[in-house]
Amino acid sequence: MSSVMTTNEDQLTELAQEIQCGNSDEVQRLLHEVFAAHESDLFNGMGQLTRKLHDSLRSFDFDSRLADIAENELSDARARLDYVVAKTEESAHRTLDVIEEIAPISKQMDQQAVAVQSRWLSVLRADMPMGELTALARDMREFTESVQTQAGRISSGLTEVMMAQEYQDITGQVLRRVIDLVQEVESGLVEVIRQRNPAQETDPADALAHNRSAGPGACSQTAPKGDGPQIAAGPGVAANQDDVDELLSSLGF
Amino acid sequence: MDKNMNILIVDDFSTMRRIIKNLLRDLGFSNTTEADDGATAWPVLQGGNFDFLVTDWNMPDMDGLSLLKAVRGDERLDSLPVLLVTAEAKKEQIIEAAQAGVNGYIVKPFTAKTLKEKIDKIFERIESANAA
Repeated sequence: MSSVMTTNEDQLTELAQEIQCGNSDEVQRLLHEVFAAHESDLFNGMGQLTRKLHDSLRSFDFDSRLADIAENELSDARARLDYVVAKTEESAHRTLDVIEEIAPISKQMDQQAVAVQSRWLSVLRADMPMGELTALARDMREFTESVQTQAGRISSGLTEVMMAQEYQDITGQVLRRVIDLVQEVESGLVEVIRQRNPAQETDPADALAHNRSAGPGACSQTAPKGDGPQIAAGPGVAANQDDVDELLSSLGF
Repeated sequence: MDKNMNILIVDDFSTMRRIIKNLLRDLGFSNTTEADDGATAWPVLQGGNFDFLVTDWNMPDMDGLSLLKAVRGDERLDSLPVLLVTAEAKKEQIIEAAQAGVNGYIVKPFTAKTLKEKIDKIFERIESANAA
């Protein structure tokens, strides 16, 4: 800046001299030079202003991206995860429906077999033509025994299937924690936006309120206490029921 | 141990409540009621004559440990047998539950056999304590 000032002073001094001498060409030339210097200052100033505006606009884009994530994408992710929880619950209940329907049938088979068996045993004990009836009775006994065995197998198989549904409880708990985490991220981002752009205050807040009320009841809104299912084994973790029993009996419980 | 005893099952997952209800029915216990949270379970316990409480730990409004403590702190309910069935498997938590007076602790995933064993053990202990 100071060199420009110095140049202007020199130029003005020179300009004054040329005017006095009446050298209109020189006067013209010097006037041009003085204005050119001004223009370039103005030009630099404008350039810097433009740069600042451009940068501000870009960061504004970034903020609106954050707003977009906070208002739309995270709530989508939450909705999808909620959907997973709902779907797996639905599937588990349907399987349990089937099990509850079939289990009594299996028991019924068992009971019918026991009833038939006792009748045949009394036939065996009574005086009947030995040859035919005995063979028949023996076949029937084998049959009823095998039906009881099979019914037993169906029963345990069904119990196995029922126990297999418990994954929904555990995955549900894990999923809920993810949902809560996502909600935290959302709140954090909204806070960031609110602090950086007070002008945008109402929108993210509204979006947050909207998301809370629109969420299905299955989603836990409070941070869960406890640590949830242990996904990896570790020193402070009871890996299975035996570990739990051991720990309790070591304490005298 | 009376097979007709009144059992309250508390868990925020309806599938788990259903599984435990079915397992109890297979063991001969058909008299079961359900609640979806410690908070909803508490008035039910207050209002009914329950002989046994089976509860989860992690629940949104009132968790199983708090429910256990409330039960142990209540004049009428303090000797109610309580079985925790939970995914919480950290040693400090197991100890905490034991110190709060839980009668049994089952960690998920569990088997039908384990449930039967723990229930038998709980009531054997109670009966021998009563006999003493």
